[in-house]
Amino acid sequence: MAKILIIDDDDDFRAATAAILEAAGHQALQASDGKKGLELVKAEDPDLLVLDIMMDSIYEGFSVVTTLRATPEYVDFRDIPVLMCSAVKQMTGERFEIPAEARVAHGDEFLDKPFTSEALLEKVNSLLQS
Amino acid sequence: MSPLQDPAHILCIDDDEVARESGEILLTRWGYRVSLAASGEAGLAVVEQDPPDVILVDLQMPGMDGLEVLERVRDSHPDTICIMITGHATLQTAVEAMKQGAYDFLAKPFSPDELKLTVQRGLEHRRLTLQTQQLRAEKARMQANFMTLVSHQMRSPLAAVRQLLEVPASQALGPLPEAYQGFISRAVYRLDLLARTLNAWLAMSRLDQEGIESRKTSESLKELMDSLVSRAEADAAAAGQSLEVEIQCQDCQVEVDRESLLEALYNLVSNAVKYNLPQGVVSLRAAEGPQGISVSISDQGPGVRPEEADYIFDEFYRSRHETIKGKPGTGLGLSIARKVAQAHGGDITVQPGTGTGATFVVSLPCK
Repeated sequence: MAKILIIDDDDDFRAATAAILEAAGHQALQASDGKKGLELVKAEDPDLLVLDIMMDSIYEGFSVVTTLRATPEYVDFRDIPVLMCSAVKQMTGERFEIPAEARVAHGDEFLDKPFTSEALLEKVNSLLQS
Repeated sequence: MSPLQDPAHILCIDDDEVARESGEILLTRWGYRVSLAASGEAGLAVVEQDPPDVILVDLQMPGMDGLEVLERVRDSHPDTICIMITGHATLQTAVEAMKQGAYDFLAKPFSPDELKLTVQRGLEHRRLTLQTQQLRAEKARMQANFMTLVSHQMRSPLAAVRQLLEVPASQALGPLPEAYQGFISRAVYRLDLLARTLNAWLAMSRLDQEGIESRKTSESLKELMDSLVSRAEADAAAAGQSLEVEIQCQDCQVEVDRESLLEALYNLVSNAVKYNLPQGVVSLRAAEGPQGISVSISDQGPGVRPEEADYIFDEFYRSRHETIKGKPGTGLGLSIARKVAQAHGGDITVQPGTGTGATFVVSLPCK
């Protein structure tokens, strides 16, 4: 069982993601924006983040990852793997180019929303094992 | 486009000093801001520095005459109202000036009332023109806003609903009573179709010739066909079908917007697979003819009825054919594909025929 933090501004996406993760035996924490998410990272030290890219601002998710990876304040948490999610493919048919500064060595994953339970659990498991 | 000024700015261009001054006195008295110029050249300088709403210009002047001033102003400030001042001897020229876009003319000698009325009508005309242009711009903006609204306000909730449904659909929280399963999977199916329709519709409204023109690159036809085949092979295999490919011009280069053209071709191949006989063959042929490049995509399905051939490219048209109408589709794929081909200066045609399979031919102009 892992402690997984879901950061997404859409209540329904969070609820659905949390339900799938909890049913698979994980503990799911939730935050509705990047700032609250980063606070929870410090307070809870989760094993994995499931992070929406487009929240209040379009690249809010990327700035969360950049903060996590590159600021001294989060030095103890910078190795937490991140599963980045976005409905941008469903919305525009295109994918984000993940900016270099948000890319990290230990293979963060990207998942298009909406996703199937299998796809989510597969990515989550592979990130937890890495 | 400059808005109507308050007070309105009137420029009088006349080589006759008395005419200029009396014009200035009257127009100023009526509350207008007045500029004066003694020649066509001086008048154009004023137009450049301080564009007027209305120009009163004498037709007959030494040097640059009224007609030339009119012509220059029509080019540089097409929305400025030009009123030609003319003597009786030059009435014919005044008619000519009207043909060239002067708003009106005043024949000398004219009364202050005539001047006042003509200027007022000219200003009213300009106000209405500006209003119409503003409304048009507003309409275009509303259309653009509508598309943004559709993308964000409709697709986000659609994605969220789909995600919520995924929880019961995947039975993540435990087995779902069998009686419910069918309903959930039908809801998922309809929702996915709705998302596809919405996406296709948005893709179509984004399609415009300028966009395609700006994205054109020189591509090898062979390489394009290879990309198409590698993309379509999995679909064909999944349906138990095979692709047969023949490329007659291995060295052909085409000027295309790669992504949209591949998408259009892929759409035709997917259709061919979707409507083909079970274990059927889909044939792709690329050839160069006198008219340009043609890519044909044939299947062995029910074919296109001649009476349907005129309609199948229409937006939201779905075939009435029994074996076709049961298959999911957005009704937009073919119209998008044809729009893409047409934006490339080509077209897509269908060879109708019942029972012999359908053949769609994409033609593209040669380089």
